[in-house]
Parts: sequence; structure tokens; C-alpha cells
Amino acid sequence: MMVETLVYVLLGIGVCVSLLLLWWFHSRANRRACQLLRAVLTQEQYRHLFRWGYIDISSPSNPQRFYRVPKAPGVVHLIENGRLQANLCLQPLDLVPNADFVVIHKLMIEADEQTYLQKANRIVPIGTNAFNDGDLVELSRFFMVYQH
Amino acid sequence: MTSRSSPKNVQSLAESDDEGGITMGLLRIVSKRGDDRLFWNEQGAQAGDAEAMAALQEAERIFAKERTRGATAFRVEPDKPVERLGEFDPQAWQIIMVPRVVGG
Repeated sequence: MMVETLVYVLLGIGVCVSLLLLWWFHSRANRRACQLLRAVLTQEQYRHLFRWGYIDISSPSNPQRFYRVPKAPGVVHLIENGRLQANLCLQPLDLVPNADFVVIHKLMIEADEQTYLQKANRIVPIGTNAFNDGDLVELSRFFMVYQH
Repeated sequence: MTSRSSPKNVQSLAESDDEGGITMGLLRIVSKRGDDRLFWNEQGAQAGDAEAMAALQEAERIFAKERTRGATAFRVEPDKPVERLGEFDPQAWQIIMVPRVVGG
């Protein structure tokens, strides 16, 4: 009886320690990812990201084009001439904290836009050209802000 | 290597790490741990400092290893556009390596 109790107590302690370690590892990774994000974004972009839930990254090749990158992992909106042209889906093969997704999108768009466009899966939303004369930018902004 | 000016966020980050200062190069590898960081001092390595040379060689080794895994490297410097790097540059202020990406 005593041995059984001891085993259960030890198991309980083991589970608690594992959960604590997992939580510590996770929060440390998130903290470091946020530091990296802070280092990569400008102050204005950083504020915008946390206020509105996304940042807009201008295309280096086309002044009429920009990319709307959400704070949480998800699709990136490709917006050209004020209109939503496509949703882009691109993700790292390795598991990374959420904040790193923004870093990856920003670096790739700014430094190697063509590769970014080649690698990303492109989803053209149904009704882009029919609904509201194709102007879905404000609608997408609404959903992006309120989904977080 | 001369001391370089930097945005406040980059500078404070460098200063917050006891391992290095603002005159050192920084390699950051995006990973599940947030990012792994490695500092090197090119000036020290050029001067023949064994520790600095070892750090530089380690940074080059990790850079090459990550590249073979499909990672992409970017040079991120204050007030300069982000640039994709094909090879390790010891003079870079900060190199960020992101893991291989695929269409989702």
C-alpha cells in the first residue's frame, strides 16, 4: 500500500514537473520570438501589428502592391491597386512560434519577393470581382481585426 | 570593426545579451525555441584572437549546416533594405536564417 502511494506521488510529481518544463520552454520560445519580431519590424509596424492584428508590407517591385500579413499564422492578402487579388499561404516546415511567422513573411517579401510568390500557394477568393466591384480590402481588414 | 549606429530596438537587444555588444555580428536562427543566437567578433578574429576565430568558424559552420537544410539567410542591417544572403558574410551586422518554407 505504501509503495503504491509512493509510486502515485512520484508519478504526479513527474507529470507536474513535465508540464512546468513544457510551459517554461513554450513561454521562453515565445519571448525570444517576440524579441526577434521587435528587432525586425519598425516601431510603427510593431505598434500597428499589435493594435490592428496585421501589418502591410509594400512590394519592392510594384508600388501599387502590398501584402497584408496577420499577427497569427494564416493567409497573407495580396492587395494590388486597393483590391484583394489573392490569398497567399506559405509556412515553414519546422515548428516555430507565432511571432516568427510575421518575421518570415516580412523578410521573404522584402528580400526575395519572386521566390515568395513562387513558393506560396495562391488562393483567389470567390467573388473577388463580383462583390462590391472587387473591393474586398476593407472587408478582409474587418475579419482580420476581429478574428483575434 | 567600428561601432555602428543602430535603431534603439536592435541596440537594446544587443546590449541585453551579456555575450556580446553592439560591435559584434549576430547570427539568429529561427527555430521552435524562438531563435538561436550566435555572436562573433570579426575584428577579434582578424587580430588572431583564438576565441573570436572559433566563434566565427562556428557561425560559418552553423550557417552552412542550416543552408543545406534548406534555410534561407537574410542580412538585416539598420537603415538598409533586407538582403538575401547566399554565403556567410562575417561583416554583416545581423544575419537571420529562416527555416525552409513551403506553400500551405
